[in-house]
Formats: sequence, structure tokens, C-alpha cells
Amino acid sequence: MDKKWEILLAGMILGAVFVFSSQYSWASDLPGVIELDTLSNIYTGVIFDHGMHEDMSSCATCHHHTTGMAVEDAKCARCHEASGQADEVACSGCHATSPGNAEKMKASQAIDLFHTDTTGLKRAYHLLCMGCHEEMEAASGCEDCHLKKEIN
Amino acid sequence: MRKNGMKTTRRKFLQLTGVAAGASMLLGPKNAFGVVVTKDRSQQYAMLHDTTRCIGCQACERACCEKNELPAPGEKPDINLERNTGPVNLTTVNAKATGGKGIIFSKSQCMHCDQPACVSACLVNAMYKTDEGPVIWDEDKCMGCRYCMIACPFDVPKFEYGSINPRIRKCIMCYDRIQDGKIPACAEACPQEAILFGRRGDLLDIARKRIYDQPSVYVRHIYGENEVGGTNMLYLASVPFEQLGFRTDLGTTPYPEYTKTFLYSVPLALLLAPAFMLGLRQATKGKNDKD
Repeated sequence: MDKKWEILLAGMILGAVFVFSSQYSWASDLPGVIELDTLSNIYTGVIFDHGMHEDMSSCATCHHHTTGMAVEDAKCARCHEASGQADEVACSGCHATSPGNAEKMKASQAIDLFHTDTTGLKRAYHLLCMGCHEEMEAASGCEDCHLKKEIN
Repeated sequence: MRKNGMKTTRRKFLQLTGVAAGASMLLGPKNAFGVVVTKDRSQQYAMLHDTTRCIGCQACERACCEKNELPAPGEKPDINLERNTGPVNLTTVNAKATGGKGIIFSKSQCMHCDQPACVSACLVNAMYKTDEGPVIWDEDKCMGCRYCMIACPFDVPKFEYGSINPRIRKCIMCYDRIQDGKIPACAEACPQEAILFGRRGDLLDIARKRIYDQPSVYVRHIYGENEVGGTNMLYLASVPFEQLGFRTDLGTTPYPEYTKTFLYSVPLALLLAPAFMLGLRQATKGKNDKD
């Protein structure tokens, strides 16, 4: 009798692990804490805690339609309602890491007719983060995140 | 006798005039009056500053100062402050209070004109327009006359008055970085992509598309497209540009055009005037006069 319950429990746990791990197969690839330091010549790097933000909102709040979760933005949903998980989930997959370069911007959009004038990574961060940060009274001033470094 | 003398005089007169006209043609047939030399500028490097995106954070200024080894900017953009460019701040961001759209920030620096007034004013040909687009100068040639400062309609070149060995300073669109395959420091630093670097043709396409897509956001004017004959610095805005402190009285004629006619006529006058006077002398010469 005890043996039977043990097997059943083990089976349930194993089943749960299988089910969830298949849904969140990328779970182990989640970034954790990232330092954004592209402008480290003039500002200190910015620490972004991905894990902390996971607990606050749905993945789709930031990742639009690429994670395979329910799409929140009505504009995205028009085409991506049932798109499923995209090959590239990271922001930098769509938002160019070389902002300010018109040539690269044009090249990245040449095949993707509907996403025109896509903002670069840095602008995307600011557009996305500032709204919530102001709403939740989190850091929203320039120097709350970007401490000026001594130059010359 | 009199008839004979008249014949010789006219021929001489025409000969001299012909020689003078021929010489002036040889001096500058391309620059003759009325000839407009048009060239394709779409592949030149340029920058597009979308003032609707600028938040006045001064990241461009800091990046510029870091790149050019200048002290960090001190004061912040303020509606009551006119921050002009100078020898230690090659680019500045200014704030302007507008009626309908609140405070708008805009960045100023060298406009990199297609036909720059500073280049035509430079006595020693130190200042020049590169084939790639940026307007730069040869520091070894510059003699410090500061004519470029006076010629510039945008008040851009600045002189290091405080230095013992003063130089002219202005934005060079990071010509050195471009040659290394990088983009200008200001464009790289901008968190809003308010500064876009690229080919002038591409940037004009992007600017026009933004105006077309968002007619309620932008005024239908790309500043720099035609101003002073076109510049390699382009601007978009949500209000008419005079409200942002831009000069809208400059017209679309390249500045060198205003002086070209005069400068071209100097050698012409030097050749033709003596010939004409000589002809006059020959025609009115009495038979007893000696040359």
C-alpha cells in the first residue's frame, strides 16, 4: 500500500516536471542579472535584475509576442495572437544594438515590412521601462540609473 | 588714311577682347555664370536629429567631450539660457518653450553644408568639404584668420581665444571615427535615437516617412534639406523651426554663390579693362600721336 502511494507520488512529480519543463524549456537560459555597460566610457553600468522583473509582471509585458505567452498589446495581437514562441526572445533579437546607424536599421528591416522604423535597443529599453518606473515610482531620473563618470 | 587707321583699330580691339574672353574661359569654364553644377549627395554621410525624441539628457554632449578630450559640460539646457557652441563644447543641447508642444530640446553643432561658406572664405584652403560629407580643416594649413567664423551663417567655427597657441574648433562629424567604421560619438550615445547617422539619402527617406506616418507629430519641413543649398545635418520637429531658434531666413542659395559672380569677375575685369582702354586709345588716337 505504501509502495503504491510512493510510486503514484513519484509519478505525479515526474509528470509535473515533464509538463513544466517542456513549457519552460528556456527557463534555464533566463538572464538573471545583467549589466548594461555600452556607454561605460561616460556613465557607470546599469544593473538590470531580470529575475526581479519576472516576479512583477508577465513575460509578454516586455517581450511583446515572442515568448509564446498571451499577447497583451492589441497591436501585436492582430498578427501574433497565436504565433507561439519566437526563435529569438531576447530584446536584441529585434532591437538593434547599434542604434543611431541608419544603414544597419534599414538592413534589419528590409525583410520585415510591417515592423518599420523599429527602435534600437537603448531606445526600446527607455520607452518600455520609463512608463512602469514612473507609475510604480521606481527610479526614473537620468542619474538614478546612469551615474556620470569623470571624463577628462 | 583715316579709313585705314579705323580698320586696324577695330581688328586690334576685337583681337584683344577675344584674347581676354578666351583667357577667362580657360580660367573657369565650369564656373561661368548661370551654370548650376548638380551632384548626387545621397551617398554622403549625414545625421538626422529628430527633436521630437530629444529629452535633453546631454549624453551626446558628454560623449562628444569624452571623444574630443574636452571638459564635461557644466550647465544644463534651460529655456532661459542660450548655450552656444564653443571651443570646449562642440555640440550643445538647448531647450525652447513652445506654445502647443511644451519644452522642446534640440542639439546644435556644425551643419556640414554641401557648399560651405567657411570653405569659400578660407584664404589658405585649409577648410574643405570631404567627399564623404563632413566639413573639416587642415590644422597645419590654418593660419588663424577666423574668416570661417565670420562667414558661417550658423555661427559654428570657434576660436580658442584663451589659448597661447589658439586653434579653430568645430564639430567634424567624428570624421576620424567614421574612417574607423564607427558612427559619431553623439549618435552612439543618444538613448532616444534622436540622432541617426547614415547616408543622406537614407536619412531623407526616413525623415519623409516619419512625417508621412505621423502627420500630427511633425511639421512638413526637413531642416537642412534645402537650407543654404542643403546641409548634411538634417532636423525634424513638431513645431515650425523658428520656434526652436533655428534660422529660417537663410534661403536656399548656397552661400558661396553670393560671392562667386564677384570673384569670377575679378580676373575678367583685370583682362578686359586694359584691353578696352587700349582699344579706346587706339580709336581716338590722332594721326600725330605717338604710342
